Amino acid sequence: MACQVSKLIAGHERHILAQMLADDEMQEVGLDGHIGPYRLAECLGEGGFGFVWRAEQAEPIRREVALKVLKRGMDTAQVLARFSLEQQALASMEHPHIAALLDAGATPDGRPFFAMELVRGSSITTYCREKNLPWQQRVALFKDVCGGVLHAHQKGMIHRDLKPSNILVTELDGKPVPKIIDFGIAKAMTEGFVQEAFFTRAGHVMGTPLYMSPEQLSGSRDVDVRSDVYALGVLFYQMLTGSLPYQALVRENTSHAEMLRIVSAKRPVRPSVQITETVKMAALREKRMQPFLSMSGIPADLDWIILKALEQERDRRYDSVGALIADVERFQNNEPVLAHPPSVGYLTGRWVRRNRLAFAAACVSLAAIICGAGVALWQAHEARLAQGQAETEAARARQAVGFLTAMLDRVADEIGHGRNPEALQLALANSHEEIQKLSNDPALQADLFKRVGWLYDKMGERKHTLPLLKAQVEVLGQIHGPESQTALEAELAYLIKMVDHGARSSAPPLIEALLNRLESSGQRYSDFWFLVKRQVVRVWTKLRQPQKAAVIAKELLRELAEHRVSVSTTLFIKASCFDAFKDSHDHAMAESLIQECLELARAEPAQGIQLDWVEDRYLSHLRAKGDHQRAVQWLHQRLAELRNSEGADQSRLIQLLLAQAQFEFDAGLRTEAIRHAAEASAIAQQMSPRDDPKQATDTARQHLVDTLCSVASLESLTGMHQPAIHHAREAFRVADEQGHINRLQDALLVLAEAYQRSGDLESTYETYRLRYERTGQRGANYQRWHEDLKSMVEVRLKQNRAAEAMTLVRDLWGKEMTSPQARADKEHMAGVANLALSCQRSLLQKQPDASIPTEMQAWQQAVKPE
Amino acid sequence: MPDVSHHFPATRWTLLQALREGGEEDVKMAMEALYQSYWSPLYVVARRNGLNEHDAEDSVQGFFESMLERETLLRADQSRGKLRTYLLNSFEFYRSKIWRNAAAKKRGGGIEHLSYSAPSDAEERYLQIADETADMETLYNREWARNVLERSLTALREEHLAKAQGERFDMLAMHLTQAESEEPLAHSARQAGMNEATLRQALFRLRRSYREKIEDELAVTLGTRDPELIRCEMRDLFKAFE
Repeated sequence: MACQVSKLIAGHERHILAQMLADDEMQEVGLDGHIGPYRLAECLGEGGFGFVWRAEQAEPIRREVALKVLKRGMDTAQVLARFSLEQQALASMEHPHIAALLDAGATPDGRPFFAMELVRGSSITTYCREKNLPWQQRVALFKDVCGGVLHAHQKGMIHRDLKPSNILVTELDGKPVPKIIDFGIAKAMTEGFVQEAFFTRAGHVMGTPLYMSPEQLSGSRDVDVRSDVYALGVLFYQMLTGSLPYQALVRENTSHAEMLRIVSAKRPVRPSVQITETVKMAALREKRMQPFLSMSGIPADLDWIILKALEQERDRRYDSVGALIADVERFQNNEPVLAHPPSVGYLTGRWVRRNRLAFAAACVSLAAIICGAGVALWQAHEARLAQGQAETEAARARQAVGFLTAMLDRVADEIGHGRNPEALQLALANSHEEIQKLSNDPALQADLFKRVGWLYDKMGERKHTLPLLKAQVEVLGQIHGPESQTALEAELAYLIKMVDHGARSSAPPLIEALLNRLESSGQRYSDFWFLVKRQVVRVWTKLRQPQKAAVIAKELLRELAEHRVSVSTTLFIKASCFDAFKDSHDHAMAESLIQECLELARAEPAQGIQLDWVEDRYLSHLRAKGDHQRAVQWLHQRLAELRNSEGADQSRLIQLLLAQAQFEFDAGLRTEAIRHAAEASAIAQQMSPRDDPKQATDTARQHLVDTLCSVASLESLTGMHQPAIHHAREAFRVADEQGHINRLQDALLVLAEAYQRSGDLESTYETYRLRYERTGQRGANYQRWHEDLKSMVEVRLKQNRAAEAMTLVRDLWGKEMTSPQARADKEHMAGVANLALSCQRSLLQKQPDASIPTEMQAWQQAVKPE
Repeated sequence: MPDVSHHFPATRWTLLQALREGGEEDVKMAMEALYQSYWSPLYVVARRNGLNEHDAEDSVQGFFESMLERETLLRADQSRGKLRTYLLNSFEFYRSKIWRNAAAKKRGGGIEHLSYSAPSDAEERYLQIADETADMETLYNREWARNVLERSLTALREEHLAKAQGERFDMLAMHLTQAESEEPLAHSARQAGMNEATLRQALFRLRRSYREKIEDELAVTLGTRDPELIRCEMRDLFKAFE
């Protein structure tokens, strides 16, 4: 019997509660459930002012209607005005896509009501999803809705609350017909006084923030048809992609203020990109691929139409729904649409804002020129130039503007081709030659070389960094003389980058040459000389010749003992020597050096950053030695110290907690490890409150991703699969929101591994694929995209889906062949070939008659030892 | 599934009163009522937060134990919010801050477990709503509402069984809960040998008693019988299904 009752309830909760509310209302009405000629049948919903009922009418004709009745106690003058306005609005309109007004009246206790056409159907987004409509039909359906809204506008009404639940789709002769049903907060364009009803109290805006235009969100009273254009944009976005424009950032109950912050801080992900995300994430989450599969391949023009409707500044949107409809029609007729990728000038502003940190000083002054009045200024400069009166400053600005504009032109172009994330990279592609052209202003040239060089470095495209830094050194040499301090320092920075990554083997002679030059100019044993000599130790360590490095390190330490140098130089040198000794397995020497460094850094409070740096080296030393116990003890003490000190650096605390977690895990203290990682995560969480993405600093969010990844992988390794997956997904979400590619990559790797350990191979595969698509393809580094494709092949092999593995591995091989760097790496190619051969073996086992792939010979060739 | 014999006598106490002022039996009964109303909603929350079946069960169980142990509920101030929300918040705190750390230690020993066993159908319920896109709190409210509706209906059915009206109840109940039941009203009326109007009347009366039962349930956890507050609560629950 228990089951029986539960069956009676399940799925009917809403109806039962609606009945109860209906009974209430009927009691209030005082009659036997009748209002005028209408018998209340079911409560369909409750709005701010009234209930909406399904009601049955018997006279004069038998039909069902939707009855909207004002709530008790709501009959203030304001609300009455609003209620009657909605009624008037509906009465004035007659359109197949707007629910018609049928009747109006008052209840016995004097509350107004009106009867509308009853639309039986589901919300427009639900309809699209359930019917799995192809995008072409969604576009047509959307156009119908626009037609309804346009009609309202022509009748002088702005809807102001367009959202899926207010647009129902019913079927007429098997064809979907959308109908707009609620004009509850509509506004008459001509009547000023009714605007007041919109605000129930100061600063409180009604309506659903998720679909609201920025001007509506900010509570502006100056709301026009372009607000409806915006809401239609959100609706169209959701109809096509299945998710909201800022899906990752919003919740059902996101407040107006939060929403306003979100829309002013970000641009929405392009619909055609979002759709693949939605499909992927839905597949990951729900293990089913369905609803949006038929939706892949939304043409870019639709993207631009939607993004134009969603512009923050309403002047940039379509100026009427009519214009929006016209563009949709142009799209349907394969004509060029008016909407287009954001223009250069507009992008410049955004781009400069986004890259302010990386491109700082150069851009700050330039941005002022490029944006706004900049164009006029520039033209003025040009006129002056023509008269030969230009000042150097102006000329420099003009050239810089020209450079940046050309660069951003390419960014815009690339965005036009739908390659948004790579745009910056591509724009920078010819920057070297471009800067070279600015030879009449070497100072600007040097500055740009340096900045673009470092920008590349930050983007992880290090192979481009070196030539630019080298060019900077040369230009500075021309200006100030090669032996000037400015040029020398640039040269050292260039050499350090060279040692750090890239052409290491050519570094030693260059460093030696610099040392010789310094010595011949009498600078032997200067601070600067020591810093250069330190690079010799570093380069041999990095080149994996630790014995050689150790010999030089000993010599350098001897020299250091005999001369006075600054604390920071001493610290740098000792730390580099430590690396050399560590790698040459001279543990005693390494140990005593690192202790010296720790003492030195601690003794000088001004060297705070260097203390962290030394500590990290110490910890990595302990890790290399496998001395987990000691690391755990040391960290325990250090953490206690940090926790107790007031105003301790939270970032440092997080880093050390994560280190502690790792060591504990390695020492077998799994529970403690997870606890410490979770503590770090909690701290990061506090640093970056979820609901306020704008305030959270980038660092805080990066910490959050790192800590979540750490928690997830520790949990996963401990066998706590579900929480691990949950945390990894959260990490992915945050990284995605932040748009940080490297962290996104980390999070997805952790997620994939967590799935793999939980035994869910299909999700593992999907995650690797997502990772490949989101990040792998982007890098210039062949090892990057290789990684994910390879994992995908391996998963398919594990699943015993040899044919699919084969297709993938052939794809991978093909890609490797197109990359000269990859082809030059024999070991790497042998690895891929080996994988391909396992696929072939596995395939033959399943299908002995499978054909031999054409690459077979190349694979066998690649795995042969030289 | 709730057992009607534990239906809490709403007329005498509110839950919190019983816990604070009642004798041993009252406390036991209140605790059981609480357990039955909130077990599955909290379980849904735990599962929604990524815990597996076992951990979800363990955390809910642990939560009730810790409430009993630490007498948390005695300190709850009913005037400052709904018990429903209070329990959700307390559980979220417990789950993220205490259970996580304690889980490992507690497993396999520790404090004495409550004698009530976990409802067997909580997982099934979770799976039924698992892929709904609603947020956690909405799911919690839905599950809680469903629980209230079920317990009330069960109590109503018990009453009819006691009066040997079980069959009649089952026939009417179908129309009570379903918007458009498979069997039209007219058909049921013919079968029961009454005319449609009489059946409508009977249905109306049944709904009224059902409503009273629901009000009892709500009054118990709201700690008040104020009709306006109860009506508000019903609207809130209705909103969870919108």
